[in-house]
Amino acid sequence: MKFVGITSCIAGLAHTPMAAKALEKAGDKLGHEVKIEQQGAMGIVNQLKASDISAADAVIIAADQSIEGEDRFKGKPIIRVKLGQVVSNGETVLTKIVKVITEKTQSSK
Amino acid sequence: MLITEKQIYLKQTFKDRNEVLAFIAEQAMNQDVINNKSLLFDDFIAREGEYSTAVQEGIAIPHAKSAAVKKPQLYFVSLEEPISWASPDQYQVKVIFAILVPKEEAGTKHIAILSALASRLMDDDFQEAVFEIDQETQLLNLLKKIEEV
Repeated sequence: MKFVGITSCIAGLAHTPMAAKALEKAGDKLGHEVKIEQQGAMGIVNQLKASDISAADAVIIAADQSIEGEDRFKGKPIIRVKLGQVVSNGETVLTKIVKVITEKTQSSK
Repeated sequence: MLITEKQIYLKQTFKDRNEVLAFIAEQAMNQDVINNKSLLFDDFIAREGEYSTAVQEGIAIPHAKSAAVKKPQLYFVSLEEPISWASPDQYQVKVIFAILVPKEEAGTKHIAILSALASRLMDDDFQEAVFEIDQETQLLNLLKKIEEV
């Protein structure tokens, strides 16, 4: 599957890049394409392109505050996850997300 | 410089998280990195309250974006014996990277380095290297590599 996502924490220092890395790492391991935009103290890092978003099966949002540009994801399934969990257990979180999205697409068929 | 040998404390003994954070606040005050010890400590604790900064087994990255901080700095503490960090995952912490940043600081090179460090801490090989540090220069060399990226 293909995922895009946003990570954003209040300080924007540590959890934002760590959660992004955790999700991308989990994607590599589990065989999914994951591209994460970081909204932190560095501004926007690794900004998602419109083509990334349109190709994605779902959007992962790991943020403890409101994010910028959520309207870009209109029409896409959005999964919200807890930042702390993503950082500690990226693979478990991604596995759950894949399961939810798989069930969603099957039930809509 | 984000960190000097004076900000590295190896093989220390503390009984819990708060003791470590108080120790770092004390050192930062003595080194003129902050201007208010108790404010920094409170900001650390407030941050821990949002969710624990013990993010992986063995590693915690307490951080504060605090009005008490005068300039961005990093502190490193390694422990003789692991301690509880009051994290929901029950992680035991053995090394601590404490990140101190002034409240208004954003988008600077220092922030970029600290973000890169946080990100590298997710790498297994980097984690291993961090756990093996028993000399100040080893840590400084590891950080140098990050700054070059």
